[in-house]
Amino acid sequence: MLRIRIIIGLISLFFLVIIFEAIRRRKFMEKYALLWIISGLVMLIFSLFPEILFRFSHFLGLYYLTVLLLVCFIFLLLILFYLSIAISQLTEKNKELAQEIGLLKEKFDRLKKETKEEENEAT
Amino acid sequence: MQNKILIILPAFNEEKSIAGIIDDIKKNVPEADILVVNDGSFDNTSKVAREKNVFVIDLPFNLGIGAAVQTGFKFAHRNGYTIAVQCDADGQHPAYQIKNLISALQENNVDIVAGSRFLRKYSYKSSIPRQIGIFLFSKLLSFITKTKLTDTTCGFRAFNKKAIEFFSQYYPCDYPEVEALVLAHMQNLKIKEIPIRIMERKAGVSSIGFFSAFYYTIKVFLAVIIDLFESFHIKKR
Repeated sequence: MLRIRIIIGLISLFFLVIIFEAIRRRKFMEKYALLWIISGLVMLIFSLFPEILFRFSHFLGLYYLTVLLLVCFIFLLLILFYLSIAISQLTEKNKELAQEIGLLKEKFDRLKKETKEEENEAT
Repeated sequence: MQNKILIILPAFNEEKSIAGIIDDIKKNVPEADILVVNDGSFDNTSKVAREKNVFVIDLPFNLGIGAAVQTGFKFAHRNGYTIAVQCDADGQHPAYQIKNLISALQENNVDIVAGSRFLRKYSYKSSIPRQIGIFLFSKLLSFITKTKLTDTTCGFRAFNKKAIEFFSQYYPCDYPEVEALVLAHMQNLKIKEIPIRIMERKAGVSSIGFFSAFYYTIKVFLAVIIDLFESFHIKKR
């Protein structure tokens, strides 16, 4: 029991350090990191204070590790859902940007051609 | 008021057929402007179209048919066109019928005229799963829109100013034809079908292969159902 708590504690600490380092190096936006940090912290709390989890495990009739996995799984689902929404929004914005580039390029080329023709007429 | 007409040709790798279509349209509808939306083609589609002296928009990469057509609507809206006609660039939609679409738009006082391959018995062959899909969607959409629709997947359509403005803001992404009609209906745009005749494709392959027909059906069905609950916030520019 103690062994698994120590392992989980170390994993979550390692996890938090990596997230912190990624944010510090500007590789990870805080907006997306928040859910990861919360899930790391929850893991750490569970390894330090297993009593909280014991209540859950009694209530659900499950073992310590199983409940921990369940909690991790729920967090992962949340993170994935959040990322899917973020990707959808980015795809939409990306499409609009590409369309705008196409429209502007067409306008630019047309204006360039018109000015050229005007110059030719002037000379 | 004189109508300003734009023919939108979304094109993805159509260098072999695009020049022929443009000539065909110029001959049949000389008063219309033509816009080729080159959807990130790998071939010379853009170059061939530019040589024909029409408007050409080059999208920086492939966005899919829906986004390409929407780019056309954006262009039409910003440049004050009052009628837009969407037409395939692979030669399936002979240009002499564009006039029929446009006059149906004005005579019936509707916002969208959709071409249908099935209103009259012209010879049109298609794979069986596709035909089943087309049949089911036309039944579903006829029920939703309370208009008789026989062919909801055909991309040969004419739009008035109101429809252009709406679609310049909202247009479905992939496999857009069916969904576009539902969205239009939700906006109280009136739709009318007229019979059209289509040609065997000259070059290129259909955007819908055999295996994607299944995915197509599921995806579009889901989208149609969700669209019925969707709310739109039209941005006025």
